Amino acid sequence: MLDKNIYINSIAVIAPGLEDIEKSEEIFKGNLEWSPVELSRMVPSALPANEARRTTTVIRLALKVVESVKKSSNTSVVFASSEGDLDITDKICKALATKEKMVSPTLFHNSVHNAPAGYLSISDNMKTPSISLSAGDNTFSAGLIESVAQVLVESNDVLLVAYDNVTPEDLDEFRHFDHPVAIALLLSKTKRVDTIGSISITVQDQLSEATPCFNHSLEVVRNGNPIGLGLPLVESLFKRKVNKILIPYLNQKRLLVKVNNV
Amino acid sequence: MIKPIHPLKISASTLVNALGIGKKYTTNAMLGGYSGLCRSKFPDMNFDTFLGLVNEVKGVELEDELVKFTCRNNKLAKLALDTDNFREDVKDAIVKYGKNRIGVFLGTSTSGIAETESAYMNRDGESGRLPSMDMLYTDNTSSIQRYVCRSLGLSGVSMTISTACSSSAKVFASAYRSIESGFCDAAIVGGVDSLCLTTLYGFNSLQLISEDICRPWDKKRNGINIGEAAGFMLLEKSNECKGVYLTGYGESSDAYHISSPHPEGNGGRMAMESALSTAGLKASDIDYVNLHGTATPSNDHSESRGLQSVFGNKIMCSSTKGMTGHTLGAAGINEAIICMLSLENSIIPANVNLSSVDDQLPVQVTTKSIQKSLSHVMSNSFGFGGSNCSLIFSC
Repeated sequence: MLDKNIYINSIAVIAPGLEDIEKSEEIFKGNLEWSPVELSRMVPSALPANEARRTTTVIRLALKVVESVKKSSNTSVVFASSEGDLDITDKICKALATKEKMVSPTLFHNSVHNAPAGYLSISDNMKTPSISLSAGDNTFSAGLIESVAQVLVESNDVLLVAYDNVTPEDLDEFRHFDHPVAIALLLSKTKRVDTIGSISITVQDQLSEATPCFNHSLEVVRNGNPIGLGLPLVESLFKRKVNKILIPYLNQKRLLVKVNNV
Repeated sequence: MIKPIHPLKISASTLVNALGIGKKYTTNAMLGGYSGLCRSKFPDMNFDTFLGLVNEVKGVELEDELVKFTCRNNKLAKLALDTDNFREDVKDAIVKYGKNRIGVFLGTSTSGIAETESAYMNRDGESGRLPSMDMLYTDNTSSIQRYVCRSLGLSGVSMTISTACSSSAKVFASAYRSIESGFCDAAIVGGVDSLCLTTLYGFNSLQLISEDICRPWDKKRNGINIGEAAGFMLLEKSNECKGVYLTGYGESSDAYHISSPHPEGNGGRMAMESALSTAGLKASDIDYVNLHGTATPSNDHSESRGLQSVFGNKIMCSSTKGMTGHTLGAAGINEAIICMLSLENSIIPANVNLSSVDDQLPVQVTTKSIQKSLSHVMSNSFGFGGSNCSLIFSC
């Protein structure tokens, strides 16, 4: 089943310097150098005001990256994040270190790894299944494996939403990321009019180096956040180039992604 | 239209919870109808409740080469891996499949966050800096998966699923998909969640913790008791007729509220119906439902409405959270193993701690343990964020 092609119908990326869609397309095609431009303030426009007010930066990052993706009522969602919301961990642990230990109820219900999944289901009225996972530094690969397995077995469209934010000050020395990065891919079992490219994936032993970004200026983004490891795949899809990409995976393994034209 | 799945055999399993270290203690409690919950304190906790503590976790030490994974959650995992002959069974599976072809799919909600909580309580008096810690090996959600892979010597596909209280139920669906699509040939599924101040004080801030023993489905139910648990299963394809199989799973999202279930149980209903479809079964084929049954007023109300819409008013069901507490990210595997033990030992476990029947709930629970031969049982797990999962096990 693994040699079957899975079709990619939409791609969205958010990272400093990669927010402007037209400009980032030129960067992914290798026509323009990447340079860091601070992210604009993200507002979850599809959520009711009451819910939107309760969202954190991490939840907004995950919601923002899927805004431009055409989801349907039949799309299930795979959320992949190494750390989830460390801003909340920081705030809750600070509260727990005081005598009164007053934890905010809103912070606590937002602290679950699947908080972005809950908010997306509410904003888009999606009753389809969603899953929220982590695999440490190899979270992008794990998310892609789960997404492909879902497309192959459940036969519905799958939206992969991979995201990790920067770490709050007190925890930064223990888990540092250079930039916030979020990548969204919409996968389907069959080819459609909006199909950008197709992929097939297999897990193999670590025999050679992981594939770097074709645009070398993007290497700092790839190396500065676990989700950045997905960028060579994004580049390949934008360049519409037949390619073999090796993405790091757990246990000294590589994920081999074959990217094909359609 | 959902197609029936190919059943997966449970060929090994292990369970640690407040009832004891090993499946036999849970079986005994299911037969005897008693609780493992105690009025007890956890360090730095200053309110009253009952807890489902696993006291033995204190004495556990991780393997020398894996010592950097040390945290309460991974110690609890090691207790389970060392119990019920599980390690030996996995060794046999490695001989059969190879270490690269056995996937690992685990659930947790808070992982090793207790280490981070402790760091914030022990800042350097002068600089205010936190003491040194290795967050990727303790606090990170995937710590459990990487510890278990290393401890068992496995290097196939693996992931940690964290969808609050449905985490270690949803691992079954992911494991099935990975086996079916060819990423692995067999899978370890499981879940581990350990007591920590984040969940104790967090649920307390939402006024969802009972200071009394928890009473699922009771008229006077007023909240959960938090418990801790670790459980694992080995799943593989098999054509044998003997044994217990995963025969169905169903997942859904409420799309309603971030921490309250849909009042009519719509999300739960969709998960249960979808599980029945993947098992190729009708509602009337199910002999027993192990409820999510947390003992919060809203969960039990919502779940009973969802149950009624799928099964009508007559279905044998009970919550076992009165025995083990709500083990959060480990609740899925804890109760999946309880369902397996129900099938193996022909027991419908009692819904313990029930003092007064809530006649507002349209579906009633069994108050005494019943010995009955069972063919198909369902387990419900629902989590914050409206994440629902129902599983079906058959023999």
